[in-house]
Amino acid sequence: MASTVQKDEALNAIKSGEVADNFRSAVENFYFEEADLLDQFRLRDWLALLTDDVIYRIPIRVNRTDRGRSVTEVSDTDMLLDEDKRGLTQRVVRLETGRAWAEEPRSRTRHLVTNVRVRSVVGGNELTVSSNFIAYRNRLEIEQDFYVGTREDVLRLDAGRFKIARRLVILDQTVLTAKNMTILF
Amino acid sequence: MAVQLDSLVQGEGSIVSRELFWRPDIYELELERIFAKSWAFLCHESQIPNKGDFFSTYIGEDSVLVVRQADGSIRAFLNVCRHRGMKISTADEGNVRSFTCTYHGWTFDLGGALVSVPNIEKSFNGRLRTEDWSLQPVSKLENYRGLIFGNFDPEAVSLKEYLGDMALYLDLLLDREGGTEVYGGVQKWRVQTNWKIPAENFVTDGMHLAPTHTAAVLALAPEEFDVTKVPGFGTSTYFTSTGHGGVVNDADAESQRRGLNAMLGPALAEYYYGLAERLRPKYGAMASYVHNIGSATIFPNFSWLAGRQTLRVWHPKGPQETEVWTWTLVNSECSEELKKQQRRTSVQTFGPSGIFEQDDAENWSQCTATMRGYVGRKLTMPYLAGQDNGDAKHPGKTLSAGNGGASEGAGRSFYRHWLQVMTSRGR
Ligand code: FES
Ligand SMILES: [Fe+2]
Repeated sequence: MASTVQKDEALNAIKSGEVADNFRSAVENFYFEEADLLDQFRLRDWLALLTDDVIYRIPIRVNRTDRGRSVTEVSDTDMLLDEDKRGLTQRVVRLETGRAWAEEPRSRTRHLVTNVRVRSVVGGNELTVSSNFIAYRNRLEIEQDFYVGTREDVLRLDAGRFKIARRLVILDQTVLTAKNMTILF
Repeated sequence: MAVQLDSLVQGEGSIVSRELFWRPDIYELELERIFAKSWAFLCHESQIPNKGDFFSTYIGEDSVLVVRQADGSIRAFLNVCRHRGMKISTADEGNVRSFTCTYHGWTFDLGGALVSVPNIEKSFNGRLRTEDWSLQPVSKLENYRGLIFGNFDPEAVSLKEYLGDMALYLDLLLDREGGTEVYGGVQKWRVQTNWKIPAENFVTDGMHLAPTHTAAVLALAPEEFDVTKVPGFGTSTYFTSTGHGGVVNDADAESQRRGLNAMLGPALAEYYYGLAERLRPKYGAMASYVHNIGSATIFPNFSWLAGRQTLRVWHPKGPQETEVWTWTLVNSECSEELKKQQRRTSVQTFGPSGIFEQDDAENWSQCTATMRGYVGRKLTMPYLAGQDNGDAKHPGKTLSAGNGGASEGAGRSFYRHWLQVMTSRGR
């Protein structure tokens, strides 16, 4: 798999602080593989990319005014989705029942991941990475939704491979224009 | 052409025309006769604790600001500048000293009074009396155990009278030692459906629970959970004569307990069973409502789920579009851990990503899409379930028993009341 990186090489890169360019392509490859799994609804394989202690969250965004200052707030408590591995697995189980009507028949999706930036190294074996995404969902006849936003990940090196330990998905909508969120980003 | 409403709801609400969910002229009349004259849930007082805090919402399609005043009281007014109609605030919420319109700079205080107009002497030469151009207040505002309700109709009956017997169910949701509070913001999303379809679902629809939500139940249920006994196969409904009502689950106590356990996790489920015992001296058998896997609607568009404690408003956005807003209500007496768990489970199960509600939105939008066809739009729909079962299986005051099946009694009542207000309130 293209996202496999040699452990020593990776750790050396981290230790020497060379986490930018050559390392970024490994992260990008990992994301491209991940996007492909999501688009193919190979969700069991996708779950295998997550650490057991993964936390996956999508906060609510709010148009706020504070004493005349306008901000779009990303809350750290208000969530559209807030899951651990168990909850994410339950979501996959749900889709596997064949009775999750919002995904029967399956949507056609395309995850585009761009603007990948390796931000920092944490604790010797973790990277913080930000990326932008567009997830397009086309469904039934002409239903279509765009989920657009940015992701802040913590990727952990586990036996020479990346795993997602944290993911914060910040969508660019305060009111979701989609009738539901059946897919992940 | 005047709308002929009488023929659209027949048989005491048991046969309803699909035109109700499609026609723009009916929708316009609803804005006038229902939303401008009904009590609407605006927000929870915990959302605006401090002076100058405000929350922006809607009554029907009218944009409304709910504002905490200097003296601690709460006021609400139309979010419409009295000069040219610009929105006074474009924020969802926030804290301000006053509201200054961005168009021509008129400033309104927290109570809605016009307090300054740039260059007022030179421009108006005394012709503009500021006291004539305050923001339009929401005529009536009441706080019911922390929930703020508003009504634009100055002639409206009191909220207590409006709720009638439904107050009991609201009490069972809100009567908590130390009160309740909103935890973790408001989820907002659009569903391409008429607002009455979800409102009706929450007022009466126990019939959909098993067929629509099997996937969610299977996902949550531990291995030993018997899916042939999915809670929801037997549901009764309770209702007032004024369109309010809800669904109560008739599944046996053991199935219900397992259902709540799977949905909320053991700690929170046990909390609700304990709470029911504490409420029993005051509410008798009705105390079990706090852990019943049911739903409720206060006419026209405010709903909740007991136990899961998610509140929601189905904001109308045109005949075929609804904006759903949901809040998670937590009991202040709960530990931070239980509050978090309440929020986590309510987001997991309901809301746009909720494993239950995803499938509801799919059904509701498709039910609406099929009204695009002229022939399909002219069909009628039956609300006949439970008509012959009689009453009184549950200790609530007015109810239609499911008798092991489902009852659509509260749905009949909802549409009877809909017709009544649409034809009696007028021009
Ligand atoms: S529209 Fe508000 S000041 Fe003119
Ligand atoms: Fe449902």
